[in-house]
Amino acid sequence: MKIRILILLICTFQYAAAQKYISKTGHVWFYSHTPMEEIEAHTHQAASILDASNGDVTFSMLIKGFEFKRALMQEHFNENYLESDKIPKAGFKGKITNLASIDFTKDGIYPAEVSGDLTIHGVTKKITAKGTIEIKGKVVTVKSKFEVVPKDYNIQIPSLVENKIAKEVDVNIDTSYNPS
Amino acid sequence: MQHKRKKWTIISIVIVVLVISFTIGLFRVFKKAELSVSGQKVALEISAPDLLKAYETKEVDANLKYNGKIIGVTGIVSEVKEDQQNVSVYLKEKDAISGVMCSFDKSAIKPHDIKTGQQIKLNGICTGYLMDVLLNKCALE
Repeated sequence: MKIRILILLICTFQYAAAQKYISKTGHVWFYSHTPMEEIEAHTHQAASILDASNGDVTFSMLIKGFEFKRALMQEHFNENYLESDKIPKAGFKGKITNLASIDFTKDGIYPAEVSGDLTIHGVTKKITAKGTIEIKGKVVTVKSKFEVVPKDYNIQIPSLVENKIAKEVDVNIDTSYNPS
Repeated sequence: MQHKRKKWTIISIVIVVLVISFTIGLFRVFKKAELSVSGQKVALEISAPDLLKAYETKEVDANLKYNGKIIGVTGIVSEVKEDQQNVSVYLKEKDAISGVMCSFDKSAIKPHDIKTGQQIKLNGICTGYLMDVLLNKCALE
């Protein structure tokens, strides 16, 4: 009987330990398209924690980590628009709203919805984003795409370049997690 | 006659200056961002544990000292992770919780040449600190 309890306790502990997933190399990129200009920037260094037991998801990234194709764009993005010396980080803190329909113990691709607070340029706004969660063995991959309006986050675009930057910027996430 | 010649000389100089400024401007606007810091001057050299310690002790001071600068870092490879465009090399001491995460463009590294446990020296742009200190556009020395 004692052995059974011990086995159960070990199994429970292992299950509980595997509830949190971590990623330090999350790929986040944004894309702005206007007839005049296409702008794309990537970071592969977003840090994220996903707690499968309660659906908590956090993302954190450095603004300076976003890489552009053109050096001047990157300079303007950091110095004029996002003021990365003053506000170096952006992040998200939220919850998976359909956690019950995702089985983290069974391989598959599950539709997912996340809702929470997105902080950019020191401004926090509530957002809801749809995406997928893929379970493959111990690796969990989260993919999502949502839109961000720069104006909502107090990002001032000078009128001279206003036509070159989309009113709504596509943000994409592709992050693979391992159990912590 | 002499006055007319002087006028034309001034106009020519103005045109040449305008053309040069326009060319420099165009070059700046369309200049492609470098994929790695290979061949660029290193501002500082430090070991991965010392760099991490600097950020863990006083992040504000470390940001002022290292952020945005090309730094040379020596450390032990704990993990190499590869995706479609990028290779991440994680410099971390055994039993440490955090380390220095170094991001390479795929064209700047052959991931199979780096082994876990190996000591390497690399250069990269320090972008700050999250769970680890982060370096971008890295190049092996």
